[in-house]
Amino acid sequence: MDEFSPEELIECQMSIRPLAARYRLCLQKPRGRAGAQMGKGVGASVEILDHRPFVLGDDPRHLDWNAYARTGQWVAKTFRPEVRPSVDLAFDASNSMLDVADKRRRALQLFYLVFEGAERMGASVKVHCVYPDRAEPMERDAIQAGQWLQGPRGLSGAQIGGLARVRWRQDALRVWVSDLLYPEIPSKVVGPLVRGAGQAVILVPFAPDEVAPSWAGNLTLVDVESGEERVQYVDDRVLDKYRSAYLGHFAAYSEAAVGQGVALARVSAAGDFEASLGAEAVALGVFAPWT
Amino acid sequence: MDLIVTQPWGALGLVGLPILLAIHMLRQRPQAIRTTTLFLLEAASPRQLKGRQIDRVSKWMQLILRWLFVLVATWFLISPRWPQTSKALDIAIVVDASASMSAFSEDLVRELKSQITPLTQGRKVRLSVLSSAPGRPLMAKGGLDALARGLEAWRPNLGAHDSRLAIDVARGRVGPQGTIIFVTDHEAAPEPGVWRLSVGQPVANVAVTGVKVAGESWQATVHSYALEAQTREFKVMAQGQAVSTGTLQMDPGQTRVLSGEFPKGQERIEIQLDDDALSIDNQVTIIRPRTKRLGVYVTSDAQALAAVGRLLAATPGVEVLQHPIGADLQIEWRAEPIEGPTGGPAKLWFVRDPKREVRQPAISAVPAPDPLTDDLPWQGLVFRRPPPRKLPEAAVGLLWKGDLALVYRMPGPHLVVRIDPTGSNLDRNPGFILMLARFLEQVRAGLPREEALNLEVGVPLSIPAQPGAGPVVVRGPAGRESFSEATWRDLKAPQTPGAFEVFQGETRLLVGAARFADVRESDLKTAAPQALPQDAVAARARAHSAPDPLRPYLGLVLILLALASYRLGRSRS
Repeated sequence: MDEFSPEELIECQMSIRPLAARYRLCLQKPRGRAGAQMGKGVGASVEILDHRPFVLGDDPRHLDWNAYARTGQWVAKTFRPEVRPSVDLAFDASNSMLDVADKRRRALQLFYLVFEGAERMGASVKVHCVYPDRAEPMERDAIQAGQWLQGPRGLSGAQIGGLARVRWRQDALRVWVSDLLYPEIPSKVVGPLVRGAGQAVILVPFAPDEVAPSWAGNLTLVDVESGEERVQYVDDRVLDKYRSAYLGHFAAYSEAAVGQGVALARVSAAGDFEASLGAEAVALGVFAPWT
Repeated sequence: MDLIVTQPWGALGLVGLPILLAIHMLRQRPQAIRTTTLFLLEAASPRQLKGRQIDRVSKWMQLILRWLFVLVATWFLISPRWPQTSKALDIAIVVDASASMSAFSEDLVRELKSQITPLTQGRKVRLSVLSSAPGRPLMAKGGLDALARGLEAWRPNLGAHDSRLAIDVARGRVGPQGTIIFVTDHEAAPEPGVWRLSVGQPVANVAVTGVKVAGESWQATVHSYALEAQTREFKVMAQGQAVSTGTLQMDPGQTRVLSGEFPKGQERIEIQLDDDALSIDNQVTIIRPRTKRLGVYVTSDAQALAAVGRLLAATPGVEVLQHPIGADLQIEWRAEPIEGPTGGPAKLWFVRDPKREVRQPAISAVPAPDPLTDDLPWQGLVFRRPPPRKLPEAAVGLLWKGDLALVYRMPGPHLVVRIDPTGSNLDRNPGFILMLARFLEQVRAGLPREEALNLEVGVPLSIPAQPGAGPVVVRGPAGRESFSEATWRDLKAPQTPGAFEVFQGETRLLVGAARFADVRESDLKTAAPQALPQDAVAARARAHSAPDPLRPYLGLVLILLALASYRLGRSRS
């Protein structure tokens, strides 16, 4: 397994800031306390949201006199709210995320892109580092110092256990950065993300070698999580079965995500990060350029 | 149908078969790979296939293709040809009949068959087996079975001899397209058109190499032809009883002398050494030699010649008689007869010059080729020229001065010396003395009397057989052989060592002991194996064969097999 250090985390964070200046995390229904971010409901900002018939009890200051002059109807103006969004960011710290350098870097880039983007929006950000057996909330200072992520730990089973221990906030946008490579029913992963009418995004880094492994012949396959070994003769038939299982695995996750209204975007670890991001995450509206 | 492999080294390509198998079995050591998606594989392919076991099965097609490639390539490399069985193969085998071959005769047939079989390649063979012995008949002819038939009772016992005559006979039998194989036991440069096959190998041998008899004493020399020390027991036998035994410790190349005296009343002894690889020289028979008595009568005139007295005193077995009755040779010194000496016993006639005329001394007499004068020195002979005289009709001139015969012989046998000994230095001339000694031995040889001699095997015998008295019979250790009058010139001592006798009718003319004395045959250190020239065998086999009809297509087959194997390997990877 490739080693990584706090310096690597800091270097990755620094390198992602220019990209975070160009892309923002899209919030479908921004909610939260009063803040600087335009909300989705009716609020008290100066930006007119809509017009509706004036009814008793409405603030007379919201009466649109111009409309009354033209139509003779009592029309009230409604305004958009200004809120401070909340973002709960959970990072899957399992071995499968951190074992290979390219994939680890892409996962960290996704993490920092969300983190930096939320910071730039003035959102309230809470970070959870999810290990197979626990979830540890991380302070902002620890993140800035590159001290938030420990080395991978090989624990067999219960990979999803840590995710279940994350305390999601009620109005927060829940972002789950994970490769989703664990033998779990997708609904059990996606469901808790949107519990309590929350909105969630799953960012899935993946390595090309996971999609089409270059296995051939006699291999001893070692699971990075548990260390379990499997002696396997790999030929075309086995590879075909593997590819079908891989695609079926993520198809099930996509289906579960769609069913729960969760945006799920896969980001390849190969090539340029911005290009990989644009392939699916930008296309699905998870990220959008700043306007 | 047997296949002719013209390039046997190409068969080394078959080594590729086990090598390919080993590569297929051993190259796939499972490679450890860390993976994040093992659970997907577990779900997709729950049966865990053991890598090496499944590899042996799943790659069999590729292995078979590569094996086929190796087999086809090997077939191409050995350049096979198919024999044309319709043509018979003529082979003449000339077997060296020298005695040393008897040391290797046991494996001879097997070695010959193993060497000839690659040449025949299943074709019909017309085989002729000949001995190299001059004048020996064809031993066998026919197929390969003629080998065993011809060599079954074959016992080589000759000394070194010229085999070219037998090879010429073989060449005549097989013709220019045939094959001649000369089988011997030592290496030598090949003769054009003859393949040499040697079945010999260095063998230690101890041999009796010579005998000597002087009076009652005998000596026998024993020599070791070995590279290591040898030990041999020996026995001296007389009348079937051992009279002496002993042990010989022989260093390499050492010569020892055995000696002794004939037991009283015994005329013959036999020395026997322990048997070894070459048995013909391990025993020798020695007889007490007896020379024919030669009765000589010297006339009173001739007795005055000092040369005659010295000659008779120096010649063994000569009895000087006081009267001419019963004499085998009469020596005279008197005037020359006109017709030469006739009738009576053999005569040695010195011509007296009654006038004793004073003539100029003559020198430089020239001898005529004759057994009596061959290779004799005549320098320094000084004589008074005899008066001219026409030679008698039956006379043969032996020594000439110009057209004047100084010495001539006539049937009888008579020898006439026309030089007066008193007027020359004849009695001090070596050529003249030796000529007289030869003449005496010639007279003695013609006497029909018994003698006893130690001889070598196969030497020509000069037997004074009497015409009209019946055939001459030789009774030897190998049996009895009869010679009619027409074949007396072929009389020889037996080829088998041992005692023998020669009879004519009831008259015993010779008691002999034949021994093998060709020490060149006893030295087996230089014997060495030599196989048939493989390139020549291959060329001869190729000349009687047709090329493989598939050969033009083998290259295409190889390319197709290579492509198929390559495609299979790529599709797998």
